[in-house]
Amino acid sequence: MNKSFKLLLLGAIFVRVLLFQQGFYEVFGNRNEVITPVSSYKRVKEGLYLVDAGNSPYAGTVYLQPPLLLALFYPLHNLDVIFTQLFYVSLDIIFALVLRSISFMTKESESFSNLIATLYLFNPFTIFSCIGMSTTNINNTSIIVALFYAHKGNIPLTSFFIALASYLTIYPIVLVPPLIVLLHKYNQKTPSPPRSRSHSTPPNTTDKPTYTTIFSTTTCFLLFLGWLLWLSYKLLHSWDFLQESYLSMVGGLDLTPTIGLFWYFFVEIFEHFRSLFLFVFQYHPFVYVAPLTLRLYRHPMVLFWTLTAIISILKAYPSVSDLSLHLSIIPLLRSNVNGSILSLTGVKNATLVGVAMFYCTILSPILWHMWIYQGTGNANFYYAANLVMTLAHIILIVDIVSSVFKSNFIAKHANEIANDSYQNGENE
Amino acid sequence: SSGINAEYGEANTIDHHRHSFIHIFSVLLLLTIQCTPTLSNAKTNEQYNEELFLRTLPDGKLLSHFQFTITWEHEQENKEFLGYDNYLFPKPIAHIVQQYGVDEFHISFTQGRWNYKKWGYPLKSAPTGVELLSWFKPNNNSSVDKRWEGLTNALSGIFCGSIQFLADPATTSFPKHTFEPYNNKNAFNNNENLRYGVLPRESICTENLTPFTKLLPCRVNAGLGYLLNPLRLYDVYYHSMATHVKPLCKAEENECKNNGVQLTLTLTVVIDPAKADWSVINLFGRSKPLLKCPLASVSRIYFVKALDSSIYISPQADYITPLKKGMGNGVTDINLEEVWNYNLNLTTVLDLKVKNSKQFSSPFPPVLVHRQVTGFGGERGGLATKIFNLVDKPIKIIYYSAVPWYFRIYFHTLKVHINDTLIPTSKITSQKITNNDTLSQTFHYLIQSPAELRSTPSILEFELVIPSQSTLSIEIDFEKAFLHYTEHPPDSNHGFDIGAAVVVAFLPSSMNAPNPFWSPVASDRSTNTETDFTPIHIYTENLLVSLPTPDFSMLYNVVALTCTAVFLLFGSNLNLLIKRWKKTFD
Repeated sequence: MNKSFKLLLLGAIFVRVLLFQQGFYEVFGNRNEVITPVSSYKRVKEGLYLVDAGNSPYAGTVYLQPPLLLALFYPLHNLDVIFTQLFYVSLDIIFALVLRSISFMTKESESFSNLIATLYLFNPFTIFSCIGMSTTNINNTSIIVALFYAHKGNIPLTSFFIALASYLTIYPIVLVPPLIVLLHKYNQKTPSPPRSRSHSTPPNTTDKPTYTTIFSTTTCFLLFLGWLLWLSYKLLHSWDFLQESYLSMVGGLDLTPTIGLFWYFFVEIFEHFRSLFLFVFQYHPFVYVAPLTLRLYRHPMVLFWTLTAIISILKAYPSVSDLSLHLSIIPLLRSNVNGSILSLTGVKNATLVGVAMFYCTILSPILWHMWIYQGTGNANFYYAANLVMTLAHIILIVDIVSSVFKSNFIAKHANEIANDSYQNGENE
Repeated sequence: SSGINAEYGEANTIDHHRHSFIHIFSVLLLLTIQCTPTLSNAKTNEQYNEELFLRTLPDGKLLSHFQFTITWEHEQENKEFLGYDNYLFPKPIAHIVQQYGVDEFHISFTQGRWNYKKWGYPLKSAPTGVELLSWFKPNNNSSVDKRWEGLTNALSGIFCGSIQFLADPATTSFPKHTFEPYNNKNAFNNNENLRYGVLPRESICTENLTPFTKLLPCRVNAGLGYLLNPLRLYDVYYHSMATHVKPLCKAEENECKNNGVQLTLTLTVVIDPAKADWSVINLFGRSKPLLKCPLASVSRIYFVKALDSSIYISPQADYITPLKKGMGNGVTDINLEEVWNYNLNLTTVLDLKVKNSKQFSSPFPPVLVHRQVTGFGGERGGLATKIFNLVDKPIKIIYYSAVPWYFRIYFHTLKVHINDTLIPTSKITSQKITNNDTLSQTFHYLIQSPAELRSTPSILEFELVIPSQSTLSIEIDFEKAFLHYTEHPPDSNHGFDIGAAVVVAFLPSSMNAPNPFWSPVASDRSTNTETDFTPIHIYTENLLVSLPTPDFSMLYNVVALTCTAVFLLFGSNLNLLIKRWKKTFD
């Protein structure tokens, strides 16, 4: 770790602590783009207060998250709030360091890895979700640590962290297949190829994971998940939390607006069709796992990223924390296209996507203010910003996946294409 | 034809004789039947009292409180109240009490707000809107909630109001200590059988008065019921019409054996008599003289006389008998019965001369309560309540507030201050601590019950002693929920109502301040037990809060746009996954 990176780390810590001290938690911790009913720290405080008063934390329908989160924050909530804030800052730092290590392990240079970590730390979405004390940060950190251990080929730890992430929010279950592929790839006992960026030989091991890998990872995952659920049961002495927290996450009964499309849809849908559309919207993210895995198992990082991006825009209560997760993984995709130097050159709409996201981030709070505080706008304004943001991400996903396929095709038929163009050139 | 006529004529005479026999026989039968009710009712006793209490308020308005009490009592205890052998007690009420196993209920319809600061305490306090409070007898066959639903529907039918909305769990709550049943010694005074519901938005009109007057034995034809003129009763500053049903019991040692039911119908109005001289008949917009109701055992008018006012009663002023005990500032008790005994046609004229209003007796309420909504915008807000103790003694209070589920109350933001000193709210349980130390500023109990989504409201109930000359302030934050578009009422921009909070102040009986809650009404006097503290109920203002609304015209647009966006992702991915790449790079 060189000196400049250490300075950058300190700078990131300083910025966050400064923003906390200046009271920006009140600004970000109450914004609907940053926190959602299932990731709000205010609701965690309410759950803790109800526990102290002798009630169940699920007594009212205010606290909607799993019980172990209460156990995590319980020792901290009686102390000064600075300790909880430092906890969130440390989560961000851990994420950045782990991201940097992952990029190291995928043979990137040190300066590039530092760049990735810095981009993450100073990404506005990251800062907003850290200062707003969104509990999705814990989810994100677990996912990235699981990715780290997958690159190391460590099955138990990968399963544990992805089980933890699934326990907190249900959707990371879909990330288990890409992690299985990664585990298989990095568990091979082959000597690692030299650290060069020239045309590398195709790997002489199969990419398709063996049954043992699949079986062992799945078993570990289920065991860890079951253990976490059992621990929650022991904490609260009842299985109520299954219904209260997980069903609330998918049931969409709390119609607070978020950055996604769900809330307005379920405000306006007729009662008659409510359960049908709820079912369709909820199984939709899970429907992408099998097809994408079958087509993209040679590019596990791209698969991982695609699934992360899909769940972050299609989940029931998305927020900018989810967006910061998948945006931070994009630079890691560079070297994973058959090890060639092609990177993501096929992506045409990066500017459009970037500008649209920037535009929506600026516009959402203004339109919210117009609707809720001024009364000069209505819900449609805010919903339009959500639509544009979702469309921007859809374009991004489709673009990156199509560019991966294109690069694959070109690499596979490289000689033929070269011959064709030579012939075409000859004919002219 | 004449033959037929002749036969008819003959038959007619025979019929005539037969008719006269039938006449005599029926009269004899009726006489015996008249006697038999008294024989069969030897063990039951029914009584009807009617009273009117008039008092001028400091700002020149007049408080009129009608109280009609119908009692049904049986010599034996626990005799089932069948509702068949009563002739004064109204059958609809009897039917309800018997069918739903109701021990006690109180329902009030109120319009306007009682100004505690200027007017003191009312004789029967009520929040604006409709309030229903009811205790049920324990019964294993049907649950309390089911009977509550039945009771609200039945009352809605009797009083022609839309009270059945009280059965909705969003308006029903469960105060544990705020309301105590009349029958304290009764075995089933368990506050688990208590249901309390408030509809703050209900508007009151003459439709509700008509069934009320139908419950009176003399209706609006005679007695004090004649003064209930709907044209005048709704054009007032405050109008509250209440029905109270209580069990009667023979107190024997520590037990109370239920042997009867008492129905009290009260009507409280605050009128502004336009002129300085007014008469009771003119005040209520009637023109004919007041006739006595023969079914009433007691008919009285009470009048609190201000210092410089004079009263004239027609016929003569001989019948004015001042009451002696515990009167306050000179109550004049006019016993109508004595007057009516002499003169069936009665016009009672009370002539009141108004002098300087400073010379009016001003009631001095020891405890005042105010509640407001704080904050701005459609996202969040807060509730702030202030309770003022204006006398030199510490007063114990119970505070109860039920807020509907769509205002998401955060109990960890509850802040209770006594004169800027924060009282800690954490780690106080809902179990009652008997604390005789009136100086300690801690909660005796604190019940915090959060709301269930689309179901029970958030309930906050606590007991505390306020020191003398102090202010208790309660602040709590809430977030406004976003409702499904069918959950918005037709006029959604009007806003949603939060019902009144209840403060029960236990005023010491030995207070030097003029006794504001003295009730001269005879029916209440006999049931007042002597205690050290008298609980009085004070209600706060109703609050109106607006929630953010979605665009109601955008249903199809939203569905179509969202589905299109989601399909873009699905379709593009599908396309990418199944298409075959071809060499088209030319």
